[in-house]
Amino acid sequence: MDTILHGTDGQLELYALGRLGESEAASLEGHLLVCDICRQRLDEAEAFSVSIREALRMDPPPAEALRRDWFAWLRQPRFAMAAALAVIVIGAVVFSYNRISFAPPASLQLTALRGEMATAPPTGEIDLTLTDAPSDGKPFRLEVVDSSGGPIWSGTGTEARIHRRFAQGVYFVRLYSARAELLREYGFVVKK
Amino acid sequence: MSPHEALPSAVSEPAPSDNASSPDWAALVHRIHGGDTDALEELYLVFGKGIRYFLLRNLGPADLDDKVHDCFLIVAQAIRNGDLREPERLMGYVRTVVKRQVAASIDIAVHQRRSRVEFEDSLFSISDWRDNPEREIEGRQRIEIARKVLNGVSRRDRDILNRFYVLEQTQEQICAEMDLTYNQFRLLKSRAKARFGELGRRVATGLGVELGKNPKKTEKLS
Repeated sequence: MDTILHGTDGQLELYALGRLGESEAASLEGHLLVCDICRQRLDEAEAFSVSIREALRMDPPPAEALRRDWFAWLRQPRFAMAAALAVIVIGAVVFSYNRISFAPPASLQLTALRGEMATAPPTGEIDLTLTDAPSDGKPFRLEVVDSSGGPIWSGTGTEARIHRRFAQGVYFVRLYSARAELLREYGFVVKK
Repeated sequence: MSPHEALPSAVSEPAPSDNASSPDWAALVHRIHGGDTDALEELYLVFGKGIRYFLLRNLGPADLDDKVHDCFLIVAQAIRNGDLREPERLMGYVRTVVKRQVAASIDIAVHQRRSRVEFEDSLFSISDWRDNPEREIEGRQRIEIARKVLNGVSRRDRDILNRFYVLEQTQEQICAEMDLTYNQFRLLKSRAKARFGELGRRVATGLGVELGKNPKKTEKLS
């Protein structure tokens, strides 16, 4: 003769709530078929658990308690570990990002290359001579632009005779190398 | 699984200590198969109440005796015909027969309801037997008692109960998130259950518990 083991309170309660696993429920149901005691306990468990559930639904806990619950998972050790790891990774990313994009400000010491510019009266022809043209980078390309960068004339060499009417204003002369590198920039003013 | 094995459980809660002795199912089946009428009576004594309980729980009181009788006949006939390949699993077989009977009865009820709606073109329907007025009143009373119980617990304890009963969180999850030991969790539920039972008895005997009023004014829980 064997002994039938009764279901635990937890099993009976979960069964009453429909939350007991299938295999456990099958075993418990088999036992309930032959056990008066457990049938009575199941009725009591069901009366309590279903009533408490309905009462809780009617009077839900205060909203702040529920809000607090949203963060409860953060207190679990496994999430704490994950959070710590995430902070380290984010910190490393931010650090390297700062190194790339937000390096310390560059220090530049500028010296004026031009002060008072050469002047010429309004004319239809100008002779240009660049006295300090570099020796490397030939053949040079010469470009004359107005004060807003608009092209006026272009040619080659370091000397040029430009047949063109120059109105009053500021002009810039740019000297480029054969590889289109800007080597020098000069300026002059046309005024009466 | 043998009917005599321990019920698998993830918990180690106390269960009633007077674990019952069960018949030797294989011997019982053998005797019935051999035409022993006493064995048949014994079968009915062992399973009759349980079968009735499950059928009542799932189908209600309508035609209950007939349904119990049908189940018992199916089981007895199967044993006599030697259809039970594993006689020691008699308990599992009876359970299967009862579950099939429940399913069949539900099918019939659903079919009848559809037919009646179609042919009579009315809103008549077979209502759930649990919806009867007496049960409804009992249910409402129990919920009022449960509200009184909840009114007597702390916000934290209420939160724990809410997690278990409404949010359907597992006890492991609740214990982990609320910094509880399993025993603390079990104790909280047992206290609430004991209080529920105590108030229920007082309501049943009419001893000073008024239902349907503000629980704070009528009953202060310790």
